[in-house]
Amino acid sequence: MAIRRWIQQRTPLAIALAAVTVVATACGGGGGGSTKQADTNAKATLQFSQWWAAELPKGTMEGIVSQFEKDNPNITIKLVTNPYQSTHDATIAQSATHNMSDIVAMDGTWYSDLQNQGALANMSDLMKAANFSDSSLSGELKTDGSVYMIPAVNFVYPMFVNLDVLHKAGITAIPKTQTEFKTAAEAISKKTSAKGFTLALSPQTPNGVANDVMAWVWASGGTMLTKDGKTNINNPDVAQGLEFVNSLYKSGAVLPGALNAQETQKPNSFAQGQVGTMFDSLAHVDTIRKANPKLNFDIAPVPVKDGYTGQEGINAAAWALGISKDSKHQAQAWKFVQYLMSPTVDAELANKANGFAGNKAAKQDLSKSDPLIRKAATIYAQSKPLNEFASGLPVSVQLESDFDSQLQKYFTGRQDVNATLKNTQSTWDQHIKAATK
Amino acid sequence: MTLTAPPPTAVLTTSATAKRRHGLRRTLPSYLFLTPALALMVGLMFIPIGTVLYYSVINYAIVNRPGRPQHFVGLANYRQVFSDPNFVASIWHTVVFSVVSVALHLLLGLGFALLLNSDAVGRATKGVFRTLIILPWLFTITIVVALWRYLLLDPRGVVNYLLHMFGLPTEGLAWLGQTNTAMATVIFVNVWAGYPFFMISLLAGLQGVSGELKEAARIDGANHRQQFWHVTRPHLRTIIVSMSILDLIWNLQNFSTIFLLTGGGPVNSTNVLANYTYTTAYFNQDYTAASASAVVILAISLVLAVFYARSRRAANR
Repeated sequence: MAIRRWIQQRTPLAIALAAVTVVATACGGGGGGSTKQADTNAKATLQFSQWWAAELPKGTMEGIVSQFEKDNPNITIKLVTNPYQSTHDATIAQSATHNMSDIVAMDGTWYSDLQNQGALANMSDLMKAANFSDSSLSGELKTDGSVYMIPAVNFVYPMFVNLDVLHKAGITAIPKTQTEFKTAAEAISKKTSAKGFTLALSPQTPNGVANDVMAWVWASGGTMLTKDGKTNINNPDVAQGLEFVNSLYKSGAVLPGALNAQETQKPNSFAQGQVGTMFDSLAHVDTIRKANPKLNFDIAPVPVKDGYTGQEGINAAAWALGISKDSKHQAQAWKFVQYLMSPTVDAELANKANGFAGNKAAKQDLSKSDPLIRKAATIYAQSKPLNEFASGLPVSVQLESDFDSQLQKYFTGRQDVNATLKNTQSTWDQHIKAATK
Repeated sequence: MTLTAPPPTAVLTTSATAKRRHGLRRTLPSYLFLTPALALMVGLMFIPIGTVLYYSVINYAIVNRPGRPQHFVGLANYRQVFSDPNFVASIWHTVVFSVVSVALHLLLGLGFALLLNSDAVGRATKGVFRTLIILPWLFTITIVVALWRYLLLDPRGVVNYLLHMFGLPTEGLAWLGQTNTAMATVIFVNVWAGYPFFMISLLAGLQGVSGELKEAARIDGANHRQQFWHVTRPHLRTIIVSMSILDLIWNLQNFSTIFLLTGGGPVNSTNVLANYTYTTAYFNQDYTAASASAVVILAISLVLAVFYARSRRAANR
C-alpha cells in the first residue's frame, strides 16, 4: 500500500518530467537524411558560412552574392559571417551533426578533420556534372584523386623589414641569407631600442610554429613530411632551422615575451617600431600603414640558409571552399563555387583581400594596389607557396600545439634540438594514430 | 419505494478513487507550475551532464568516424587522461591556482572590508573608495585580460616602466612569457578581478556585527586584534566558509582567465584542468578524453558542493 501511495503521489511529477524530457529531446533533435538535387535550375536557398565578409572591405561579399543572385534568380545565398575561429568551431561541430552549411569557407588545416567525418562533397563529381575543367585551379586538396577543397585566395607571409631601424643599426641591405639576417638582427638589438625579430609562440594560437619557425625551414627547401605526405619532422633540415631560430633567441635578438606572444601582436609591435623584422601575412600591410603611416618599411623573401640556391619556399595560407556532403543542393552550391572561382570574381576577391587568386587564369589588376602588394606578387610568382600543416594532416592544430610545447622547452634550455624533434615526432605519431584509428 | 444501499466495498472504492482524483487535481497545478523550472534543469543541467558522462565512456564522440562503430570502452578514457603527464601537472597547477587565489581573495577582501567599515575613514572617502575598489569586479573577464595583457605583456609596458622607475631591474621582463613568473602573474590578475566580491560580502557581514558587543569587549579591555578575533571573526565565519568554498569551485573551473592570458603556457606552466579539457577537445578533437577530464572537474566540484551545502545547513541551524 505504501509503495502504491508513493507511486500515486509522484505520478504527476513523473508525467511532468517525462513531458519535459520529450520536449527537450525533440528540440535537440534534427538532422535526418537528405536527398541531393541534380537540377541546377531548381529553386534553392544556400547557406555560405565564412569569415571573409568580416575581413574584406564592407559590402564586398554582399556585392558578389548580389550579382550571383541576379544572374541566378532561382538561387538565394545566405551569408553566415563569423570570425575565423568561430567559423572553424561551428563547422567542425555542424559537420558531426550533418548540419553544415551548404558551402563552407575553410582552411587547409581543417581539411583532414572534415574529411575524416565524411563531411565534404566530392567536387570532382560536381565539376564533371557541370562540364567544368579544373585545369586553371591550383592547390586543391584531394583524397583518392578527387578534389574536396579549392583555394580561392592565397596569402603569403613574407619578411617585413623596418628600413629605418635596419639603417640605424648600420645595415644597408635587406638580409637574404640566415647569416646576414643574424648579423642584422643582433645589430638591431644592440644598436637600437628595437629587437631584431619577433616570434609568436603562444599555446593559445599555436600557428606561430608554422609562421615564425617552420617558415625558415620551408624557405630553404626543407620539409617536415615524407614524399607520401606523412610526418617526418626529425630530419637535419628542420634541426638546422630550429638551431638557427634558437641562436637568435639565445642571443637576445628576439622580442621578449615570445613564448606567450600571439600572432595578432606582431603587426602592432612592428608598427610601433619595437622590432626590426617579422614574418607576417601580406594582408597586414594596410593594418601597419593605418597604425603608423610614417613607418618606412619594405617586404622581402624569407632569408635562406647560406649556399642554398634552389627555389625558395614561402609560407602561405588560403581562403578555401568546400561543399557539404549533406547539402540538398550540391549542384547549385557548385554553381556558386564556380562563380566565385571564375577569373573575374576570384581576381576581385583576391584584390580586395590583399591576396592572390586561386584561379591561375584570374588577371589581378594590381596597378592601383599598394606597391608592397605588387612586390609580393613577384615573390609569390617566384617562390613555392606552402604550409605543410595545412596540407591535409589530421588534427593539425594539435600537431602545431605539440610542436609548440616542445619548442618552448628547447628555447628555455630544457632539452636539446634532437630531443625536441624526437619528442615532437613521437607525440605527433600518438595523436595522428588516435585521430585516424 | 425502497432505497438500496450500495455494498460497502463499492463505497470504499468510489471514495478512494474520488480522493485520488481530488489529490491529483490539487497537486497537478503545483507540478505544472514547476514545469518551466524543471525544463530548464533538464535541458541545461541533466542532459548536458548526462551527455558528458556518456561521452567519457565511449570510444569517440561528436566527430563522425565513418565505418567505425561507436562503442562502450569503460574507463579507458579516464586511464588515458590520468596517464598523460600534462593532465597530472594540470591538476597540480589547478590546486595552486585555486588555493592561492581563494586565500588572496579572502585576505584582500577582508582587508578592504575592514578598512571600509572602520570609523577611521570618513564617509565621503569611504564612498569614493567603495566605488574604486569594486571597479575590477564590474569589468568582464575579457576586458580584464585585455587590460592586463596590455599592461604586462609588452616587455616595455606600463608595469615594467613603473617598476623600472623605482629602480627594479624589470626591463625586458615578460611576466606572462616566462615560466618563473607566469603562474604568479595569472593568479595576480585573477585576484585583482575577484577580490571585490569577497569584500562586498564581508562588508555586509561586518555591518551586521553589533556595535554593543564591540563596545563591551572594549570595556573589558580587549585590544583591536582581540576584538576582531573574539567578536568580529565568529560573526564572519559562515560568510568566510561559504565564500571560500564557492570561490574554490569557481576557480577550479576557471578557464577564460588562463586561456586568454597564457593559453596554458609557457611550457605548460599555467595549464590548468579547464584549459587541458578545452585543448584536448578543440585542438585534438578528442572529445571523449576531454569529457573524462571534464568529469574529473565535475567530481571535485561536487565534493566541494557537498561541503558548501553542509556549511549552509550548519549556518541555518
